Amino acid sequence: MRHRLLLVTLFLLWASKLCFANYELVGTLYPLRWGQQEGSADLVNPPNRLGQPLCVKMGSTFGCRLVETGGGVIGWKVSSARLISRTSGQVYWSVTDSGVGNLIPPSATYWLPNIPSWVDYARLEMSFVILYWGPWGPTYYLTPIYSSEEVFIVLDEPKAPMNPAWVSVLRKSCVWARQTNNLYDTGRAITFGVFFQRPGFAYPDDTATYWLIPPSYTVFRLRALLDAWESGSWTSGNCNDVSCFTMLAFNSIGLDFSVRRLSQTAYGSFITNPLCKIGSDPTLDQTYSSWEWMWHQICVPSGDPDPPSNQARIWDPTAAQKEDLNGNGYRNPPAHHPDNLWPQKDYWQKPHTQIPGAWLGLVNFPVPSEPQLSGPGTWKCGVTTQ
Amino acid sequence: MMRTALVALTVITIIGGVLAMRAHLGGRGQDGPNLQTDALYLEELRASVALQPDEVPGFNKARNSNVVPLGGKIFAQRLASPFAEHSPLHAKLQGVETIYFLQSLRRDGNGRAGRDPSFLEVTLMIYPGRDLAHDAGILTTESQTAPPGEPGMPEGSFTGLPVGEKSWATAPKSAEFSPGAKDANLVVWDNSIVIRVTISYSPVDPRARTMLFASIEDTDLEWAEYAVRLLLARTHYFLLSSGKSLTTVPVMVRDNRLEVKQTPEGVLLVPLKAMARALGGQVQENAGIYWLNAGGKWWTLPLGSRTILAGKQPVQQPPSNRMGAYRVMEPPEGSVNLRIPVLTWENEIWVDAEALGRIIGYPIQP
Repeated sequence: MRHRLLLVTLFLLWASKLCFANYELVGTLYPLRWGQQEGSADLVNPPNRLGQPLCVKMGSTFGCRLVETGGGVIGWKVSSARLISRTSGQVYWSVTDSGVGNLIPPSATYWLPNIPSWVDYARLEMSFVILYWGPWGPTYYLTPIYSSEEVFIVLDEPKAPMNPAWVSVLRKSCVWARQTNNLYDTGRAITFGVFFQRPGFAYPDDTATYWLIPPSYTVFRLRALLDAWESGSWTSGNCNDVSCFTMLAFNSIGLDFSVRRLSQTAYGSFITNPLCKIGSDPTLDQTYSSWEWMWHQICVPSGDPDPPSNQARIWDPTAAQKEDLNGNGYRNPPAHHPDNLWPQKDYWQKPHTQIPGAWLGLVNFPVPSEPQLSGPGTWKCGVTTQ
Repeated sequence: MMRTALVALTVITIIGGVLAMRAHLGGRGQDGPNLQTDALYLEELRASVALQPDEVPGFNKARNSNVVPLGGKIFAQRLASPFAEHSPLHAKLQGVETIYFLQSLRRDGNGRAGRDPSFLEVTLMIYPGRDLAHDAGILTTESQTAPPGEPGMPEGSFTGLPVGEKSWATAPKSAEFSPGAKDANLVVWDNSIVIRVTISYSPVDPRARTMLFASIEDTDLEWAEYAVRLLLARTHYFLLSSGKSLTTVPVMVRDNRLEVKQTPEGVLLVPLKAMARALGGQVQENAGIYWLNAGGKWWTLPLGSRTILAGKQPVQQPPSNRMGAYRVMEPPEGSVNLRIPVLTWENEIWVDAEALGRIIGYPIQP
């Protein structure tokens, strides 16, 4: 009796070693951090382990490797695998390889279908068959289903200062940009996503900056902001706050954006055309009002030229404009897109194409007005969990 | 020749003495404390200055949590700004090490729509120099109404009473709920310290498509200003007393023995309440504003203020429904300036003895 008990214990010990085996994903995977604390302890480590959040490039090849088994493995395979969209519920691919055939050597990679060619927030489920030397010879072991509950499918490698990208940011940016796969669609989706985030930013009457740490206003209190939204509270934010946050969302997903402050050529304040500030409903006329500002900060792709060139493309999530630059109904925040171009010069001010004497774009007065840089050129904020 | 040398020596001695006094007493031109940024010091600072539950009435939870204590976060950071090449103030602050204390508090109250939960956000900064802190104070007022490097909020306070050496305030007023957050901000600079406090309300209906906000109520503006006063007084006291001891010195005030504190620089601080009791007077208080009746006059001592305001009547906050952001009032005739702001610790109010002596017409000396 004691002998049998010992054998069972030994068997369980052996089996448990296999249960602790780790499954490493192979492909174009990027490091992540949680966004909860400063320093290396914040990193998702390792970044490619089943069971952890994963950040993977859209359209990339994808596979799995067995690691740290403690030896004794003869062969293995993926028994089942599914990649499921968390935003739509769609099963992107499903692999089922029942039975004990088709095993591959312990060090070999098991290739799965490619990652979808668009951005999404997904879940990965996998189970395995492992053949190992057991106490009584070769033994098959069918694992439970393991999962990575959060798979962030991104356009490309996340860019600074979101490199590594924060899990807490990707939870938003990948949802906003779901099903998109290029600069313009993704950029527009994120710009709209930030503008319509509930709870989210509400533009303050005092036009002050709230989430960048004074006095330099170049480090964004990203964790504090996301925690506030997570706990259900609205947060104030001017264009400095909103554009920097949007830049972080862009860059988490693999775009490379910066922010830029614009003012008018003749130095002084300017009066805007009626704008619907973030936190209000842009479908209602009464939410549009004019502002007197000295400067306004917007997002541009890193590398787009600084003024005096006006070739830069503009994404401006702080306020919606009633009309696009052709004078057609728009009622959304400007986001450069082949369907609605927002080049810098016209974004700033453009004669109305249908109403003589009226102006489209941001600035109503003075006329004519051209944008120039206010302060530094094009820059990126830093981030902190403080 | 000998006489010229003596005169020159005397002039040099006087100039040296004046400079030394200024450095001791926190007057203009003084460089602030050398910043200590080791973890133990920062933790002591955090513990000494942090707002406690309900110290500002109703604010007794951390902003985003029911379980995290109010403690706040403290850290030191060297400033770096892409604006340094374009703004002289940013340039001066480039690379300067700064101590930050951040605290975010929540008041659930009775959940009244358009008010609670309300939030009180504190950013406290300590700089290694008075001039640096002054420049940082200006930059801390940034808004879209001023170019980078210039004050983005008007000078003032919520009550119009003085706080610190200079303050800036905004408190947008609207008769009705309207789109746009109505947060009220108060930024205060005093010597090496800059504090920004923001109080904000939740929208009337957080699920609506347009967020409508109410203006911050007068009592909340008053309490937000109280929070700034308390933080300023505590931080000053911490910087005065940290690593050194304030010695207790007995003094006689009109035949009454009082125990006053002496800073290492030789400034005497008098316990206001004890002195009032000794003189048969009394001190009244409301939200960090103290009133002393002495010699047929009322003296108003706002916590964290560098001025004692004189008056035949107590100098009050503006009447109800008038509060917003006000330019700080000109001190009435007879008001007295202080070398150290009005401080508080151990349930006492501590006031520069030299100024208090002028009020009661009796020098307070050891």
